Amino acid sequence: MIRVLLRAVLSLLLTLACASVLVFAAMQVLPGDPAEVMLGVNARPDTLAALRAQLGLDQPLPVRYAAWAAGFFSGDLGTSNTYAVPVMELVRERLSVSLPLALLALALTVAIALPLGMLAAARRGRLADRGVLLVTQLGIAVPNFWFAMLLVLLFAITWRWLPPGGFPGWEAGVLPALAALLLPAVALALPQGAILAQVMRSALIDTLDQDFIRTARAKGLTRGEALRRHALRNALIPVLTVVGLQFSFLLAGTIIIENVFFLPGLGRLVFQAINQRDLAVVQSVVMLLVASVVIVNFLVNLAYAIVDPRLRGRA
Amino acid sequence: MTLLSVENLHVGVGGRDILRGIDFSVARGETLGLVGESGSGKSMTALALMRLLPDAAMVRGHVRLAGKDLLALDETAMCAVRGGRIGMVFQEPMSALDPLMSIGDQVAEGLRVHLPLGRRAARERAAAVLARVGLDPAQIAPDRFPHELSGGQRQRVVIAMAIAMRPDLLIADEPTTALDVTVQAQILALLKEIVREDGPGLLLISHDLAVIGAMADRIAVLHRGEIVETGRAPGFFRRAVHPRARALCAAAAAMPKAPPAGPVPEGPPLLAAEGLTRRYLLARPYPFARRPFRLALDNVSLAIHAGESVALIGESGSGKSTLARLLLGLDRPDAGTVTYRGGDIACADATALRAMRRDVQAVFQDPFGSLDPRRRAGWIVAEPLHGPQDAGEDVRARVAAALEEVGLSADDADRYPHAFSGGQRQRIALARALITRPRLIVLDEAVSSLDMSIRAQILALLADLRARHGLAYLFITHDLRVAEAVSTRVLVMHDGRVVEEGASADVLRAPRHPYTRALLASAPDLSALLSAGNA
Amino acid sequence: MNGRLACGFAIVSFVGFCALLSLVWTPHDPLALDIANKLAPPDAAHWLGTDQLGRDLLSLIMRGALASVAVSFVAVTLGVTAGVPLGVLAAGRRGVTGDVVMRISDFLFAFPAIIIAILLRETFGPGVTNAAVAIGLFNVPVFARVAYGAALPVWGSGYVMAARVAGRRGLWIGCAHVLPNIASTLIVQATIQLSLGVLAEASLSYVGLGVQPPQPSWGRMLFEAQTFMAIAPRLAVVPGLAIAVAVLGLSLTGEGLRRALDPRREERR
Repeated sequence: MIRVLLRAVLSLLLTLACASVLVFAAMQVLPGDPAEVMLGVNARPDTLAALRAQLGLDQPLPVRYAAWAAGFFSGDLGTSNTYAVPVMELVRERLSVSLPLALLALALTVAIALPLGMLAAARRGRLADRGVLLVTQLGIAVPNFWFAMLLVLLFAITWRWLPPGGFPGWEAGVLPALAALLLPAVALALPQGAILAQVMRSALIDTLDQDFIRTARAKGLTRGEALRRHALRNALIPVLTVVGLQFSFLLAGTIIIENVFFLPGLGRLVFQAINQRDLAVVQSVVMLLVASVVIVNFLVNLAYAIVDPRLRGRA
Repeated sequence: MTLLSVENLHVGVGGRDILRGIDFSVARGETLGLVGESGSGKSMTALALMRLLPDAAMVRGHVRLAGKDLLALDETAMCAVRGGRIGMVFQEPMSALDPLMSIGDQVAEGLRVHLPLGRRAARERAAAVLARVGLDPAQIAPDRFPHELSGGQRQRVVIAMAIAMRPDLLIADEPTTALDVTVQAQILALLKEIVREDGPGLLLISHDLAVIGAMADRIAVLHRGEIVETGRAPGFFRRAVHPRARALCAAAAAMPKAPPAGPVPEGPPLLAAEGLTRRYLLARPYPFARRPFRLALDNVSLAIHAGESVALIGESGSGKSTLARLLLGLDRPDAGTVTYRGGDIACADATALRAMRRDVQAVFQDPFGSLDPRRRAGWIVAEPLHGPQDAGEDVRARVAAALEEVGLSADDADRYPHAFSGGQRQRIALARALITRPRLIVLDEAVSSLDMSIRAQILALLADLRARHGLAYLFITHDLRVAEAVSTRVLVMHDGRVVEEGASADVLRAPRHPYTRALLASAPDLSALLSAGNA
Repeated sequence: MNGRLACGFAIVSFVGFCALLSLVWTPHDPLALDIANKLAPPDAAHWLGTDQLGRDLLSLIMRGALASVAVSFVAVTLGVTAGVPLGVLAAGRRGVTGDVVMRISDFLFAFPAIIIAILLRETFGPGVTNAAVAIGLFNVPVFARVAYGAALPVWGSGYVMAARVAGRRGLWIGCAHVLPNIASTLIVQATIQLSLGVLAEASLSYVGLGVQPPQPSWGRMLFEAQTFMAIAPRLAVVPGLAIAVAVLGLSLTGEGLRRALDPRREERR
């Protein structure tokens, strides 16, 4: 177990390092002089030079990268040019919206996928299975932000049950905050849940065809017991892979959905920063998003080892 | 007393009849051997008795266990029968166990389905059952997982699951087909012991008449969904009447006559290996550690002379396939050399290498995997010619000649592999090997996955081709009888080393190395079936 | 040809036809403003009505299809040309080369298309090319993995071994044996990625990272419709339906192809 952990951590660090180099290069090296971008082409040379010195741009590239990377990993994300506050503060504030939203969406995704996938696999080829296939195929085809708009049209504009957008903040109480997050989470979860249900179904069907299911039935287990005790656990491995991959889709979806509902989350922050040319914010938030994908996949890899004794090793 | 009686059992899938009214019975303490070639419906029979066929299957007839018709039971009652009164052992021990559950828990699960046992009590009884099948808890702890066990040990776990409830009937469907001979002998001995001590009826299903002969009291021959012959095992071959049963017996008993020993070959060998060593690197135990390795081949030397037929005998993991890959130049040794007509193939120039490729061909085990499913037979056969595959009268003529030589027709060149049977595919693979007019063909388990009767035909064809073209063979096999039938000289491999080498007759009649002796002792023999059978 | 495939193929052809037709003919000029006639409901002249600037909705939808089709097609082409050789190579030479290639593709997976699009925008400025490249880059590891998974058993198969015994080189084996045998898997995956590409293009255009105004695109139209949702829900419903229909058509085609090309799974799926 320790071996597996050690290897995984090492590869995690390596991936993070590569990703940070790439993000840094894309943001700093290629687009030209950030100081010029901030002040405009007509800026006076001495102002430019002053700003460069202030931003540390007069330093050689590797030094600048090292400073940024060291800051990033110790929690100092630099200072926002437009808000003139530490980026970390902005991120923390926005994360209090984005993180609950992503978790809620993930929970809903699993809540949709698990029963649908199991139902379809258990009744393979029958009416229920066909129904699930049809519904999930439709669910995948619908773009989440459009679904979000339809939800707003129905629940917020026509029926006025839920707020059409915005976020009251957690200070306003848990219920209003959750109510503001409910529609976005549903919009995110529907297509993801549809995909996961299909994966769940085919993974279950694949394991149900395995020899050990027949062995279990030969021991006297009923069909349902064999499904629950043996197939489900074995199907978990491909399903986990997809959950890991889905996180990156969920993240991308969150960025977009936050724009639909005017939620003050990380996604909104990125787009505001892009429009205000606030490089420090864009760079750090993008890196943060990438890091979260990498870390989630790292956790998924660890989860494999917990589920599958073959990956544990007997050390 | 009749324990199980099957009467007029029909099974149809998708409008096609797989089983057509079969009848047989098994008494308590008796072993019935059900034998048949692939596709005859053997496994279907086993699954039909357990009522584990897919929903689409239509089952008619009667399956009476101690007088009660199993086909009339409802699902709940049937679940009590499965594992409770009938235990089943499957072919593939690798996939028959849930990889995510410890072996003790898997046995305990079966007990808890049928008995009101607590978790701990079930575990204790499971440990006892595992000990009963030879998995001593002190050595193989019940909390181990299937992947930590060898094939033979896994099959013992499957048997433990089957006998945990002391069932009245044990069904074993090809229980040893996936195992090595030495392990096979142990598993068969275990099954015999269980029948003797616990007294269940045993329905043993196999394609291998030798296995059936070593185990069964009575034999039933299944052919295309019908039982064509039933009889007591001793002397079964002599009494068999039905042509299919006779053919099966004949195929099992008859091997082509061993080629004459001939003079000891002289002069430089065609293909030779000197001190071959191959290591396979394993995963590092922790980052930056020195990588551990497994020694697949340890200082192996051999030489094959022109026109000679050499057999290389070994069980799985002995390194025989690694050796084949090295000899064919598909892989490089970590130490040692392979020379073709005196030239090292590792540093051969393009011309020399091309000559070697033309002269040394190969046929592999799996007849279904060794032909590209997207290419026509003619294209496949012409591949070693390195010409444009489809064009050219000359190429077409050579393909036709090669196909005819292996007993196919020139028209077969236009068909795709899926249109051929296993035996025919192996003939196509042979035609591909022959088309360059080679001097040596490496046959890596080339007849292992074929049915007995087909195997005999292919072996006869190989003997015929060798006589006609003066070919040399390197015959890699785990089957001693095949080795004896085709070779003049044998090498026995064990754990990456050649442990014994010599003329076939000497080695197989009077083995010197203990491993060769164990191998010979484990091979089931047909003598019981061949005996006079008056007893 | 099964029903699913026929149905999906019909939808895909129709969408593709509309996209191509929009190059030479649309009912109205999709870019012509007619403020006086804004937000008009459907009538004989404007079958789907007009938008907030008086543009003909049907013409916009047709031209928007072009953007969707072009972007997802370019993205899949990029993914296939870069990803498939990598995956086939990695499967053929296991060991260090294979490890490195698969590691790189794992690494690329950490960058969702939208992140790549943001990075590209910061580097090269806004534009529709970014969207195509971003989605294409995301497709690369997808195709690399799929090709790797499909090619691995082929490289290990008996017929590849036989070809090597026959003296064939790796490149020849890759082209003559491996590619034809993994082609059906790749075609199915390409259809799926096309459908995901349509969705991704819409998302990116919605947040302003894809097709730039005034060029019409379905995602952009949805963004603009959001302001008028209470008074003209039609503007939000129609482009969304167009996306859903196109994606459904592609995924039906993919599913149908999977069944048609892999008869083994017929009874299962």
